[in-house]
Parts: sequence; C-alpha cells; structure tokens
Amino acid sequence: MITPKQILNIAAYAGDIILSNGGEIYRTEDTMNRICYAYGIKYVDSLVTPTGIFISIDDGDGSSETIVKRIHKRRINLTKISQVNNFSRNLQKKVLSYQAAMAELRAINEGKPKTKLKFGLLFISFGVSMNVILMRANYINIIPTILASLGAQIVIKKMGFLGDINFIPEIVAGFIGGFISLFCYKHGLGDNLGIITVSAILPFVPGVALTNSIRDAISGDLISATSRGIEATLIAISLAVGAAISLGVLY
Amino acid sequence: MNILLELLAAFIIVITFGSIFQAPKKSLWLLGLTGTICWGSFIILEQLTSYNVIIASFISSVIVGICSELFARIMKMPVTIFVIAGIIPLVPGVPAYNTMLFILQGEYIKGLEKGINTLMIAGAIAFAIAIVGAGARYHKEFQKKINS
Repeated sequence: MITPKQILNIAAYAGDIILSNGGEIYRTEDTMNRICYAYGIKYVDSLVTPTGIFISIDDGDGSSETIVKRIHKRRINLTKISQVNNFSRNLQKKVLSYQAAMAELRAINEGKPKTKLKFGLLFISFGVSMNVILMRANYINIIPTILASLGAQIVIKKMGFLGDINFIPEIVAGFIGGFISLFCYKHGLGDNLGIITVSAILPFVPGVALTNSIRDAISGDLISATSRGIEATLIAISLAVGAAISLGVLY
Repeated sequence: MNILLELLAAFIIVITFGSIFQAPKKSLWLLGLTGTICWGSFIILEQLTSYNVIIASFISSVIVGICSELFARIMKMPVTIFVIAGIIPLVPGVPAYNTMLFILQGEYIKGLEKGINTLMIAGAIAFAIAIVGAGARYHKEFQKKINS
C-alpha cells in the first residue's frame, strides 16, 4: 500500500528531472498532476517556478501533504524529459509500486554515461560549420569555422568550476571563438570574418531558453516567462561581449 | 545544385543541434526533416517576398511549428524537442554580429539600425512559435469539447 507521502515523493522527483533538464513549466505541472491522479489522489495543486517546485496533495479525508523542492542546477537533456513524459503516461495505464517507480526515475535521471566525447565535439563543429553554406558565403570559410568552434568547445569543457557560474562560459566561448576566427582571418584563411565568428559561437545560442520563455508566456506562467526571457537576452549579450573583447584586443 | 547543398546543410545543422541538446535518438531523422522543411520554405518565401527576411522568417517559423506539432504527436514526444532545433537555421546571427561590430566602431546609428533588424527577426520567430503553440492548445480544447 502506497502512502500519500510516497506518491508526493515520486511526483516531486519526476518534476525535478523535467525542470532541471530544460522542460517547460506547463509540462512539469502537468506531469506531476498526472502522476498524482494516476495514484488516485483527488486534489492536487502545484506551483512551479524555474528555481523551485511546490506541490501539495489532499486525499479527501482530512490529511494533506506538501513538499518543496529547490532546483539548483539546470542543464539541457531533452531525452530525459521525453522519458519522464512517457513514464507518467504509462503510469496512467498501470500503477507501479513506490520502489519500482523510484527505481525507474533514478535510472532515467542517471542516464547512460557519455563515451564519445572527442568525436562528438568534432561532429558538432562540423555540423555548425554548415551554417556557412546557409549564409551563402564562400565555402573556404568552413575550415576556420571548424577550428574556432572546436577550440571554443574544448575550452568550455576543460574550464572546470568556472563553467558552473552563469554567463561566464558564454563570455569565454565568445572570446575564444572570436579570437581563433580573427587569427585565421588575419592569416588568409577565410574571407568573411562575421560569418566565421557567428558560426563558431552558434552552439551556445540560447535556443532552449528562448523557446521555453515563449511557450511559458502563452500558457500563462509569467514569472518563468520573464525570467527565462532575461536569461536568453543575457546569454546573447554575453556572447556578443566575448566576441567584442577579442575584436577589441586584436583588431 | 546550390539549393540541394543548402538543404543538406540545414539537415546536418539541425541534427547537430539535436545532439547538442541531447534529443532522443529516435527523433533525429524527423528533426533533420524539420530543418530541411524550414530552410526550403525560407528559400521559397525569400523569393516570393523579394528578400524580406523578416516576413520569410516569420512564415517559415510558423511552418516549423506546425511540423513540430505533427511530428511530436506522431512520435509521442514533447514538442519543444522539434521546435528548439528546427528554428536554429533562422537565428539572426549575422545581423547581431554586425550590430556588435558597428557599436564597437562607434557608428551608433548604423548599429541601432542593425540592432532593430535583429530584434525584428528574433521577434518574428518568437511570435510564430507563440501563435502555433496557441493554435495547438485551441485544437486540444476543441477536441475535448467534441469528445465530451
């Protein structure tokens, strides 16, 4: 027999995974409510902001439980969001015991270890350099773009604790990307500095923050919409500042 | 030939972003298809609107949004997976760079002009996503009303 407290734990853990991997507010609340309803709880209410989860349930005969969860780290992993989504949908068909549900969520949260690090960075740099073709520039620009993008990404990966501070990785990425682009351009590799720099720092554009901000705004979660909008703007400005510093130093 | 190469480039770039954001592996082919549709519609619209990038970006973002909603329903995955990667080819990177460059060189009027251009393109993409999202919600409510 599962107690209300345990149901709440499952719901809060699922919400935690979705929110800290870049899900929208609407999806987090919806998933948590769906899990609680699947276990037969009558009244559920949740309030989610980008930095925390508050959820409270009432089983209809006088006892209620509440849980507060603070979200500190935010990463982007759309696979986990998709998996938790499927988990909550499957729960409606067949309820799991507390241990089984928590084990499944833990397996989703820990995920598979990433192995192909070096190859992955090269692949990302190559893919990003295709932006040169989309911008209709000379194809010679692809080579400096790959170099600059690879350099920026390696530096970000090796940065250690500095990488956890907000907006510092973006400034550094802008600086390194701009620096290598300018270096290649000065030595005759590539003929369009703007497109090389923009393509090199493309992996750091705040696509997730922007999209989530808009989708939160249309579903009425205004706190999250404004804060994520500001996050997206600040990330874009950080990239521009980083590139500007490199131009100012060398130009 | 050039157009084919551009479509292929859009396919690769969107798949790349799918792997940066760690989208589920099953969705990657459809992601690439979204990117190709996005850039194909952008090329056509650019011709139709005589190189008005803002309107072209707006309408092709709407198309990306509709494709994403469809694919998300087919694959039973969150819509954001497709939207986030699908709009990447339209991101106004070069105008933003030019804004920064002009301001750095002290030409504030030109910088402001480019900055407004950048904001218009970004706003067009944002509003397109918002419109499609609102439409999808309306569709959901509508179906609920019919079923009940």
